Amino acid sequence: MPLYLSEFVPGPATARSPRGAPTAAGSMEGPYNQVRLGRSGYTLLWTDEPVRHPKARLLADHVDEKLAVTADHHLSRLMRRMVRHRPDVRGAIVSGISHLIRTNKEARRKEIWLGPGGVAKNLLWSQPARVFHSTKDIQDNFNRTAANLAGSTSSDSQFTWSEPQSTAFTTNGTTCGFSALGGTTFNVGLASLAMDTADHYTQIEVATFTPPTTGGLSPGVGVRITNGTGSSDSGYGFETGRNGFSNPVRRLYDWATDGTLASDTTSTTTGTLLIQASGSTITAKLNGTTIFSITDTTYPGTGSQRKAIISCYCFAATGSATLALDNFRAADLVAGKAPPLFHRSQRFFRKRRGA
Amino acid sequence: MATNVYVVPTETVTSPHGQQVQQGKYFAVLQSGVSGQLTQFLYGPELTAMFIARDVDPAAHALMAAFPDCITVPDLAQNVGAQRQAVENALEALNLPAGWVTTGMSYGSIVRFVAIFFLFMQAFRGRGGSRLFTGGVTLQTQWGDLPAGVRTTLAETAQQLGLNTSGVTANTRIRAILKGLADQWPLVSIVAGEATL
Repeated sequence: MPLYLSEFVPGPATARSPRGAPTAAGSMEGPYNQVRLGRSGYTLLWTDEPVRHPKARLLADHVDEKLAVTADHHLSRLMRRMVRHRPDVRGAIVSGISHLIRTNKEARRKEIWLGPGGVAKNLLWSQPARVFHSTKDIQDNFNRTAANLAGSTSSDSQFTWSEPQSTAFTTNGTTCGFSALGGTTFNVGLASLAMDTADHYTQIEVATFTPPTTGGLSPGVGVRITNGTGSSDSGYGFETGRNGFSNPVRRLYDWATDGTLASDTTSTTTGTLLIQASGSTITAKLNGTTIFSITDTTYPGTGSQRKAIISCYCFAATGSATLALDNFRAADLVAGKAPPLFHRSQRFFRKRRGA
Repeated sequence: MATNVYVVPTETVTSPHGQQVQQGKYFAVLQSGVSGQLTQFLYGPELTAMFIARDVDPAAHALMAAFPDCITVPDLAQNVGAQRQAVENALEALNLPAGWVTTGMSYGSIVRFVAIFFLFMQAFRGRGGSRLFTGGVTLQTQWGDLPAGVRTTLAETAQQLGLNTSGVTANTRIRAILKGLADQWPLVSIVAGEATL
């Protein structure tokens, strides 16, 4: 029987819900069974009839249900119990709902809820979170004596900076930046301390952005970096600002080759830039809002591919350029795994429409 | 809000940082006519790229469609229907195995498969793999005829992605290997900017 992961969409308007109550996408197409996945806005849906709604993702069908099980071991155990009668779709479910794991309000447990209700009712899965902060979490506010960035120690004393490309970055007492009068430079600041996991983020605040009269200025950040040189290197970069033709550009790019992966032409000159790698999903954010999100498998973040960088490309054809960066931070996304405290298997809540 | 997909050859261009990089042809044409995001997938080290663009203005779309080496993918919700053979031919010409295409498949589902082929080859490139389809290697080439170094890198790539290669023998053709690996790809969303495959 085909199994889908479905988003909720507004259903038909009724007198009670003029704008339409949330309904599982595709569920109107025939009899179906579903399990709502907490308040995530998703439901697991299974039905004899194929669901063709674009917001309903096929997890497994009756033709080829062989899927790689890559998700969390504990979820696998749970799913083995939940779908004992359908072990072939276990991997699909795990892959589909692993991203629905949430940290509870006290930040002490990882949980999946089937819906609102008490612990004895709708809590599907729970395990204690061993640590509640990132495995590695490094920061620098650049509040120190003015000096070249290379060789300086971060404000949290956890790492030192190097400059694998150019040497123009300097600290001025409160920020890190540079000024350029003519010419082309690509400045890179590499944090010496590698993250513990492949899934991590890097962020920096653009405090001052003064582009040249003609030319470009593009501050940025990078993750999954090996050495920051661009040669025998790895990783992904996110930069904003202006390109060499004075045009606004924001782009997510392959750090090692400099090839663009996603871009737009929205002007952005200030704010906090963040790039995050989680599995094969690479996300770029500005002030917490996602700008780009893509799937890319080139750099998995294994081995030495775990460093963070700040960068700035500058092409000052005419006039001078000035940039100041502040509040650098890089951290792993997830804590280490903890042993499960308990598991609860629950019966599917079957609902057959029209039956 | 419409999503347009274009498949194009790559060309060597100067990147925004002055590097020589492979990039899909007509990137600049498309970029200038897109009000949303423009996402680019490269077929790993091969010389093919796929653009996924949101809200392309009609003029830019017409320009792209007029380029003879640009494949403009129809509406993703539309079924292949009578165009099945043409789709197969187009895919095979790009060294993408195509025997699996059926008339009942939507263009969106085909693009998703193509994206999976691309993602596999991205990981191959990330492990140091260079062009696979060169020096006489085609989709018909058998595993045993590939250089040992290429076989090692391909196997390591599959392992890195958690894909099973136990069914591959010396006589298995590359088309079967790529399709077999793609079949194992987890059925989770592939994100391409504002579009999801």
